[in-house]
Amino acid sequence: MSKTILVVDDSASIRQVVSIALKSANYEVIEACDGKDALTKLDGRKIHLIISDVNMPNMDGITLLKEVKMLPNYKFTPIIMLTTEGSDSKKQQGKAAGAKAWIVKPFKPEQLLQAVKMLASA
Amino acid sequence: MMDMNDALQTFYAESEELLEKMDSALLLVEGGDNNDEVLNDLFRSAHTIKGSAGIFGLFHIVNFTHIIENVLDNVRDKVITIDKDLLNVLFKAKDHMGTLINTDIQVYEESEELKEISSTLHSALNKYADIKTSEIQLNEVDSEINSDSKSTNWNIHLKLSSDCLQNGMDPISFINYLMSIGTIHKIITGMSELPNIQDMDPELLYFIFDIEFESSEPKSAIEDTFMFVIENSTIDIIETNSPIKQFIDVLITDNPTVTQIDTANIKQTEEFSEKVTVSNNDNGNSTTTDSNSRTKFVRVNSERLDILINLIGELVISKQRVDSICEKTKDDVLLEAIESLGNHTESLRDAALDLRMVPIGETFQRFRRIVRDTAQELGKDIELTITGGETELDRLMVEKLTDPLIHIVRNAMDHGVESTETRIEAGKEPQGKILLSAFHDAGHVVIEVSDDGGGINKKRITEKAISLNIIDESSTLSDQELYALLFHPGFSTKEEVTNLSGRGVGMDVVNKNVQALQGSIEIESEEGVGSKFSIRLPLTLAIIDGFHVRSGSSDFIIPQATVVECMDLAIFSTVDQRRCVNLRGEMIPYIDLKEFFKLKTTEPEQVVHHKKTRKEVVIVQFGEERAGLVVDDLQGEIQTVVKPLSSIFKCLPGISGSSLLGNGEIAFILDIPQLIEKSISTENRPMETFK
Repeated sequence: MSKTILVVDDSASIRQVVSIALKSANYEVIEACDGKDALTKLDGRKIHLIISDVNMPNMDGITLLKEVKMLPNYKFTPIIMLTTEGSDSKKQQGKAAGAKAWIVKPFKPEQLLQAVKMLASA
Repeated sequence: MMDMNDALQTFYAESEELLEKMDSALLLVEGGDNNDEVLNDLFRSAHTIKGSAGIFGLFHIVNFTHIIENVLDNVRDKVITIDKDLLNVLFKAKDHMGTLINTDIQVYEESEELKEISSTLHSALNKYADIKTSEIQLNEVDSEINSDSKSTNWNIHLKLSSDCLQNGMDPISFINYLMSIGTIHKIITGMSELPNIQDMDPELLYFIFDIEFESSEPKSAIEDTFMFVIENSTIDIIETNSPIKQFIDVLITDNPTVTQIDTANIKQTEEFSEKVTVSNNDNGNSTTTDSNSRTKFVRVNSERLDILINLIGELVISKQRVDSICEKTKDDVLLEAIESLGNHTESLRDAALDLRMVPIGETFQRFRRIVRDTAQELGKDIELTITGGETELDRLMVEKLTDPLIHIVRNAMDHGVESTETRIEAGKEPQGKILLSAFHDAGHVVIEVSDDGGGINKKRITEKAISLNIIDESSTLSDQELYALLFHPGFSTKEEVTNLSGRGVGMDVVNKNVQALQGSIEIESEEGVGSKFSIRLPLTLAIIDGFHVRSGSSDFIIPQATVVECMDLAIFSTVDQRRCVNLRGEMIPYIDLKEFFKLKTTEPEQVVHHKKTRKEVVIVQFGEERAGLVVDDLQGEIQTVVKPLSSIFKCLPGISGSSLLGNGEIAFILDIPQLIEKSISTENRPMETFK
């Protein structure tokens, strides 16, 4: 059975690109446009991995991370931060909140898939 | 299957929206409203565009936007504040982003002009962005170029999280990876953390590695190696030939302040997970449900929407046909069923039309920028006030309305509002005011542009019109007629057409565009006080409530909104042999449709059948003007779908479209503004006697 990945990004084009890459590797993809939207998608279904942007309206990626870590069903779901923010302090924040990986945009789809493969293997 | 091209289209649409967002955010900042949310929006828009552009390899956009993003980041972090200069640069930079997004990267590479603009703006922005961030740019964007630079020696201190083996991460794999991107000279395995044998958990990692490593890759590439284990690990990557101070810095600042233990991705036993549950409750608001309040939007291709509306239009016609057939059956049950069908068709029509309705506010927002730029060009201080932005009208009309509106606003700013000195002399406030407002008025939408400037100089217009031979010296004109001269082709009272209002179109084109939308422009003005241009438009172009009349053997539809009343022509006595009726003291010119369209007279037997020879007059009004339309027969109200006329009929005066009637006959929709104009201009001609 294919794994399900939640992609959170306020940019529709990035979501689309990520989805195309993931679907080509046979992953199921659910999209959300910001942190709040993402939380509504965490409704009990099995999600194997979350890929999230950091800077988003309504709820940013770091807050989302913290929220996810408080949900009993999802607190062990690995999260990859996918963002243009390369600053160390941000990375540190993400790390502190429990991000498994940090990929800086622009990324190559292969890069992303490699990371996804490693983390969604549970 | 989706392909990348779809995603690219999404990118274009999205960028357009983001740029508009930036525009309104910049305007808010300019207006003094620079709260965190606005600044954040501003930053995020640039940020998202840059991020997405990178994915599509549009590096001309990435490179240019990067520096804007840095500046905005500094603004957001309150490192710098936006002053007037910076604001101007940001406006220009934002515009240039728009240009770049619409420019192919190859075209950009070949265009010296565009590159020049990029670099000018970059140097203007540079002083607001700090040097640190431009280095990152090199790393991020030009990492490929960097790869052939000379290799560096690194000292890597690796204390991986003790549970990394449990997480399926083998330290050996990282070391193998390092070997693929450089040369490992030496590995020292530290065992200082190794516990006593009885305390040792065979699943945990206790080793510390110190690696001497040489590579031409940038530091970020080495860091990325450890991206999956960075949590709870201490990883120091130090250039060996860098000053000793850096070592100390790292030792002090990067001291592992033991981050929360939080493990995850691999099967965990329940009790283990109990133990490692994170204590992240510092901001313990568990929000999971309150995101439903936002309205969700779905993007739909506008063509599909038009098809849907067209189909519903056809449905309305078919329904009318069924109606007329059912009338004849006198079957109550059937009639009842049809009535309920009718209600639904009507709701469906309204809902479909609603889909086309958009608030005009979005268009109005663009004017903030236009007014700002224009005011700056003119060296005038002008404030724009917007009201009624929530007023909705047909999307197609909004699109076609923008250009005429821009022209009117520019005109008001250029010719209307006086210079600051003149204003002060006249005892006015130094700052000029433009008011842009929209509201509904009896089945119409009215959009008004008013200014508190000098008003229209009637004398100048008269002089100009005489010199252009549009009118002769003896003619006396009413104010409305005088103002209407402004719409005469080639009419401009300003001696030299300024760069601004003279741009592209004249007021005559503006007037034509508005008329094409079945609208009209009215002008009110008072010298020294200001002017007001009101554009009056129908709510929608697709379906009209009409009044069905017949003349000769032809069917006509008069848009219901223009109909004032209907009367028997016979009760009027003609006034002084002019084509005019006296309606309760008001002189109203009229036009006979049969004569106007040169129609055949109704067949004699039909006249007998109807037992009537009298004529009816329908009084119509458009804007301030009224006229009478003489017809043979009134058929009643009808709701009908407008079908545009094919191009060969476009030149027909007095007709704006056609429509199918329930019985399958074609009816022409009358162009009331044009007919009123015609009737006024022919009012003085001697009458032909009716047959």
